[in-house]
Amino acid sequence: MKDIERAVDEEIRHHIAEAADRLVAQGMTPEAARREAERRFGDREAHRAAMMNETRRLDRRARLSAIPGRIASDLRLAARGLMRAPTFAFTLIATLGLGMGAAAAVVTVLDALLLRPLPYLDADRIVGVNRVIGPERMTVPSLAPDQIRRWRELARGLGPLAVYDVAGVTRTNGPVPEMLDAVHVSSGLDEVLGMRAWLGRTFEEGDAVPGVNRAMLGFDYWKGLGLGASAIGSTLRLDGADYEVVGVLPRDFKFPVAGSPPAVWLAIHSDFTSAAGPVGGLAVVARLRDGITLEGAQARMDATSEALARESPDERGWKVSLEPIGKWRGNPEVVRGVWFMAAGVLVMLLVALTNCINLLLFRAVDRARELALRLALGGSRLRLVMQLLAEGVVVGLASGLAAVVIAQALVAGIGQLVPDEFVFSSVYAFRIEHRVLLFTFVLAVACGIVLGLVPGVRVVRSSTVGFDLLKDRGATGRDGALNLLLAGAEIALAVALLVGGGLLANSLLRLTRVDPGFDTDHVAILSLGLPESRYDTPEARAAFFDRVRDGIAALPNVRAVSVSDGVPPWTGFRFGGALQAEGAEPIPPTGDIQLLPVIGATPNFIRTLGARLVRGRDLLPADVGGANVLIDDALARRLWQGDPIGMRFRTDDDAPWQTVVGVFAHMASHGLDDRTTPYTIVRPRNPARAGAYMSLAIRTAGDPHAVMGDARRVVKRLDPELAIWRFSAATEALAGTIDKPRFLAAVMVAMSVVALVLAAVGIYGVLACAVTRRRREIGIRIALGAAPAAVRRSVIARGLAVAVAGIIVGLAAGQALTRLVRSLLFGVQPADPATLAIVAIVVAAVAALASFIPARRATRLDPVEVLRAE
Amino acid sequence: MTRSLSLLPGTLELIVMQTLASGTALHGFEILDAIRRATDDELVIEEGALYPALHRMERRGWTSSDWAVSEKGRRARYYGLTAKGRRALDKASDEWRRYVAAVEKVAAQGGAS
Repeated sequence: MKDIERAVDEEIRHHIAEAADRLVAQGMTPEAARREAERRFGDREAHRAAMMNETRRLDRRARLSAIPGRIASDLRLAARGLMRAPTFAFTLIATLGLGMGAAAAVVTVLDALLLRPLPYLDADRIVGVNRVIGPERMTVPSLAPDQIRRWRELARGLGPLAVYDVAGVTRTNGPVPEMLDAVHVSSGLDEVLGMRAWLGRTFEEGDAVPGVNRAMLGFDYWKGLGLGASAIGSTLRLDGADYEVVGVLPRDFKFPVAGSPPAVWLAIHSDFTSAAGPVGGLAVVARLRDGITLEGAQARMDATSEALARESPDERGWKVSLEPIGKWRGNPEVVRGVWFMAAGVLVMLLVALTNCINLLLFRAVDRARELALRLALGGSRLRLVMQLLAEGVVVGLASGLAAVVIAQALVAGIGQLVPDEFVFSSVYAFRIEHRVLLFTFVLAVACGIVLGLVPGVRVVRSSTVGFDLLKDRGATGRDGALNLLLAGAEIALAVALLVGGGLLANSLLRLTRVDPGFDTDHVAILSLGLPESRYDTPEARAAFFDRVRDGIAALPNVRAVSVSDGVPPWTGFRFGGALQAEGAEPIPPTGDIQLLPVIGATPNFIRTLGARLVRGRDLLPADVGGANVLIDDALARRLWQGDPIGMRFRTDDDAPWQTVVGVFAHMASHGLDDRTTPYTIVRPRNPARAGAYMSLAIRTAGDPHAVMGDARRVVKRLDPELAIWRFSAATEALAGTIDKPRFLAAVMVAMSVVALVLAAVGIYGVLACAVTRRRREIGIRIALGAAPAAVRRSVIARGLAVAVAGIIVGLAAGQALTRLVRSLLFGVQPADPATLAIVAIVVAAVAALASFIPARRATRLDPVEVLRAE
Repeated sequence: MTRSLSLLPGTLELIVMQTLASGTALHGFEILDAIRRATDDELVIEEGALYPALHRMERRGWTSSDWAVSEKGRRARYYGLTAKGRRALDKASDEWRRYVAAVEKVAAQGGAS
């Protein structure tokens, strides 16, 4: 503003001087000429004000329009400055890029799992219609067809309704027989979900006519077929029936929300049959008609179920609950794991950011002379801060780019290791897409601003103190303290993360040590699913499995084979009823009794698995069809105090009594983490009720892998069109049951190790800087005869003091963090002393190592050289 | 000697731009001098009023200015016409000619009656 005033005044003065000159030349006295010139100029104040006004307006606009250019030039300058210090820049960008890349990867998972809107039209109007019984509100999402028919009438006015059933089918007109995940869907599903075909069309009324078999393909399965547009109209032979493909669904379209993504969608006929026969338990999904609230719809359904209960006594006690399908997103266990990962990645990002701030602070101190000089020469403080901010933003943006590359690698690479539980729990595939890119960009700019502002504020504040910055010593005092504080914070964060990682690793270790209860090293498990179209009676199915059993039993190196409806760790459950020992009160089906693994097996099951009989005997051929069962020792203790042999119990009020003839040592029936399934019952298989899905336990003499090829050939010889559902060695099957804890532990340990390395670099940096700054003092001490060991000790002591403070704070913070994950821990308390002690010792050791290097350098200082340099 | 004419509103800018149209940058006093010479002192311009006009034209982007040392060794602000100013001048002088022609016609009728 002053500049404008000065310029306007000068212009007016210049005019009057020129005019006066002219008048003098015409003969006036200088005095008179001056007065005349002023008179001719007119109202000087008014003209001056008018000029000022115009110029100010111009100036304001010019300044506004110069801002983008100035920002660009600041950024350019900052980029150039960083390129002059490539190692420094690389360290910054790699550190922050790693932190943000990990964050972007976790956000990708979080977004796919929970945040991105579901791929259905107005997803919040879509409800699952579930049957609920008793106070437990146990959800059984399946209905018999005649119930649905009645509901359709009674629930008229709710909105469009559709039913579906998740199943597996075997395709036999491909290169090899393969099992596909399939969903049988009724007409109306496209109206409920608002789904559109990617190619071809969705199902129509005409597809529901009995005798017509129509299929749609999931996007990924269609891609894998490689047929392109010619897939439409092609034929799939599924479970022995020919289906015409009418459409392909878009990528990322998945229904139901949870579970493995379906490869094929099959139209249910209007009489609730498919090509293979009646469709099994059906689930119902509906779209609420406009104008109906969820509460209103629920009230209507309550009335409906009361009406049903009056009609038929079977319906008594059952209710119908409407549940927005958004609630099906993300299995709670998985979600808790992902939030824990998110918390961990946030901590790691904070460590990375703190490290970068520390690095930039060192640099700001190194550049203090330059900055102070610029201030002294009248450089605007604001410009200086803008320049530092630009540096921060350039680092942030470059790190953001690195982060995208790193996140890409993490999602692609670690993506292979992500347990199926995570993948199946998500509607969307884990893929970096624009929402994540936007997040990374915003995060990068935000981190950049923080990186720029902290040193910026520091520099501006110190310069007000005076010429402190011009002196080399300027930063040893308060700046040094700030650096130490930041390094301590890094340690604390790393410790908190290590506590989490350590507890998960400890849990994992305990899980791997769980005794599976059988000879896993010599057992392979083969599971087959028979198409019910070709094996339509239980007897036919039982007979086929017996043929497979006999065929495999005849192979060399096979000791024994048994057929059962489940083999640890893949067993089914009894669900629902109360468990009752004869003469005792029934135990309600909650807690440890809620899921009770029950295995229906052929004789000699315990011996085949190499499990241990504690009392009594194994299943015998004579037990088939009878009421004799085996239970494990844990269940025996739960039901009786003394010898359980000969005792009777039942698994529901109206179930027959069963007699215990043998007790075996506890088996990991449903995986190594068996907290929800602590007991197992083994009963004789009933050939009259044999299902389509059965497993064979194969006991081998040597490595079970060695017989797998021969076993496959046996199956192929007996039924060339049958797909192998799953076949693996028991050790691998068991390992698969702890995929999730293994994955979480690996992720957390990796993140905490990175955080620890960064924190160690932080301590190293602070001490190295301090040694450099105090080299004169150290030099004098050495010159005065101080022992090198004493000098070394003083430096290391400083580092250790920071580390110890950080460890104490970090252990406390870690407790807060791990409280979130109590349920993810197995056999370990959040305050597990061993884990905490190991973390503390490891961090202290790393901190000591990080301090030792600068300490050694301190003692190597040559006092003469140091003092001469001053 | 006839009485000098006072300036019609809005014409000062046209005259200044025309003066600068030759391409030489001039300072305020030189611009006034040039106008006086061109009009044989027919037009009376309050000298001080020139400057707000110059600044307004600069804000509109019609002129640009630079400080330089004059022949007499004084620091002076020199004005030149920009490309945008040249287009504004063309438009203004065209309008001016139509205005004069129209007034001329009316004036001619008045003379006849």
